Amino acid sequence: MFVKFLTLEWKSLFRSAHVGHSILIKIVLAIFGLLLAFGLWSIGHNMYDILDESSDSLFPMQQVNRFLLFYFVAELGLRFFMQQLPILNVKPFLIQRISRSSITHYLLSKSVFSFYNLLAPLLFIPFALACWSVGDYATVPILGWLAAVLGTSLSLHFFNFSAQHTLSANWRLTSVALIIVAVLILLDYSHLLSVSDQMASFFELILLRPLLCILPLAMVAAAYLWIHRSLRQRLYLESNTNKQKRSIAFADLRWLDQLGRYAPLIRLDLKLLWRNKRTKTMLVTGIIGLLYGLIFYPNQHANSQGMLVFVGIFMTGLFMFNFGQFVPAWDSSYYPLIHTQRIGITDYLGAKSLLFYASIILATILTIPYLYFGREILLINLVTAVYNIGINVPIILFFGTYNKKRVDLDKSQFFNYQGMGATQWIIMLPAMLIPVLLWSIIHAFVSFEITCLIFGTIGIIGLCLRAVFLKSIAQRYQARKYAMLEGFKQVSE
Amino acid sequence: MIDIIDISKTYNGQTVLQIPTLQIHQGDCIGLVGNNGAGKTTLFSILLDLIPVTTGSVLHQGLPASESDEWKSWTTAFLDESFLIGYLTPEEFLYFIAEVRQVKHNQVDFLLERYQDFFQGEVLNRGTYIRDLSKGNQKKVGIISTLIGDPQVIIWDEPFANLDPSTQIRLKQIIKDLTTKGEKTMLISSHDLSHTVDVSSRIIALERGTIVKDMAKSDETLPELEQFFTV
Repeated sequence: MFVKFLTLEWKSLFRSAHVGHSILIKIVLAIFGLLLAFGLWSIGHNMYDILDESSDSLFPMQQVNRFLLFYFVAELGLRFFMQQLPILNVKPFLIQRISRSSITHYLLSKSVFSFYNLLAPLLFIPFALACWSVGDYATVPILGWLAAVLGTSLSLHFFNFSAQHTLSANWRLTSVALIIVAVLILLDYSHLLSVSDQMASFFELILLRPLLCILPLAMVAAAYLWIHRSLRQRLYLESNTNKQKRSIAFADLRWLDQLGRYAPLIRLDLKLLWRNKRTKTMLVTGIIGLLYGLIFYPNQHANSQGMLVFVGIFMTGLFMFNFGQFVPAWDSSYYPLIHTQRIGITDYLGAKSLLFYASIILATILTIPYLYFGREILLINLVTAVYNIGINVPIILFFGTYNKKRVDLDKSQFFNYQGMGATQWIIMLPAMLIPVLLWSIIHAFVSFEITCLIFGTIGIIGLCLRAVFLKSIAQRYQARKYAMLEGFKQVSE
Repeated sequence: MIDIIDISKTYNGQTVLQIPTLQIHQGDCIGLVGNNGAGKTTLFSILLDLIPVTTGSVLHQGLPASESDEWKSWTTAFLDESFLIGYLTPEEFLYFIAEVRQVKHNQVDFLLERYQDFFQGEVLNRGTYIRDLSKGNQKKVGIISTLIGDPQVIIWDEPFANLDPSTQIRLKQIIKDLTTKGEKTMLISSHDLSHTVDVSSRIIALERGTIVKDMAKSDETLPELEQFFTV
């Protein structure tokens, strides 16, 4: 059965409309992955020497044990936001003589082959090897310790899927979980109840009694069974399609009529944003992203101006980056309609860019309170917003023309990262890094104020060239029209 | 109205459509029949410039479909649910189409009034999104949306499929009403021979991508088609 599923996967990879594209991206990702893996391995390898020098009283192993909790929390956080349960189109299988249970087993075992599951082994295997070769511990305790650490990591892997599902459906539960985590961190920080010490002493104990590593391994089994059970129960069509009828408060948004021919398109986009869960999440991220500055601004001495420029670009443009990278894929489910109606591509792009301008201006207004951290920050945020409007809007719209993957609005859940992933971040790099580089280069020659002035001017020049940019992007849309139409037809794999 | 000049469509070396020449005149109500894979939807998609032709060209009133946008002002189409916007209510969708076609809202109201019984009170004013409607009701919205803005050319792919019997009969009446004056050009594909023959003035049969029959409707048309499709 597994082999059959695997051949289907293989076919879906090589027979999809975007074969070349996805294979190329996979190769690029593989290279990145290898570099990262090499980096992690050498960190794990050198960790022993570094820790050995840093403390006289503790073995490196003991120091690592103290930080294990933080590592696991970070890993869970990373998994929660980045990792997704692999997608399998289950509908055709449900009516076949394949038990739900084995479909679920397949899905879950497929999920194990994930980059995130290599993090812990790459870090801790070389470290354990180093401890063992020096002779701090005997073979059996080291093996037990390694099994316990890797077991915990794997149980986090399965637990994460349950957590994503439970928390995505329930805002209140999410906030309760966040509060509990916050309280635990506070307790740990104030040494009232130190979870990290408990964790450390547990792993110390395993080194004394290696057999105890059965506990984390049992945890893997428990987490697996839990997610397996809940997934199996969810494998019904009804829970997939979720056809509930609802009444809607009609918002006419008549005031948008002033925008003339852009009005219907912008109204459509606003409804798109508001009425689909996938896009609603994005709005929330856009707002949460405004808090990003709080991480950087308080310890300003540590920040270079380049970093502040990055933060400015990021905060004022987050919505534009999130929404823009999937233009026009958001409209994929009715793309033929767009192309048979009298909607000019330049009008279409113009409407999207107006929406971006509005979002950037709104975000900039909301970041004004950061004035508290200094006039410099307000100035940087203002000029990065102008830069975003002038330069990054066309850049993002340009990269959007590479889209030919369908985005399914209807199927999405709250924490849905379908179509989202490292690929999108690679696309965003030029939009985020070029301004930082540009700023550093200009600032090397002139004062802060002049740099701001030049930077803002670049943005305004970009805005003046808006029509030229949109026209050339529209030409690319025309050139790629058939490829997009074909790609958007393909329901996601 | 529409001139098809020597078009062919090839996928991976296999020709799925090959039409040396075909002229569609104003006032034609063309019923396009053919088995699955005969190329009906491919032909419609090519007319609407949704897929590129391998060779040849399609002219809408003398203007090439792939280079000009003009034809979009007098042509409407409903091929499948990708011509609907799922997260709008039917009314919002119809108003949206009216806005992009630069037609006043009250024309939509007038249409809705006129085709009220076509919807059978199941679709309008319910506050339901199109994505939550049944296939049949979605199709009704799509069909009515193509009437907005008084288009000269209307293209429908399988309009009768998924519709309940009463609505099929109503739809036939709508088609007849639209074509009596001889101004509108309609292209309708269907698997239902009797419906097609009933409403059309000209029947085109496709088989494996080529036109095998192209005839004006007469009393013998239906038996002839049935004869043709009997294996």
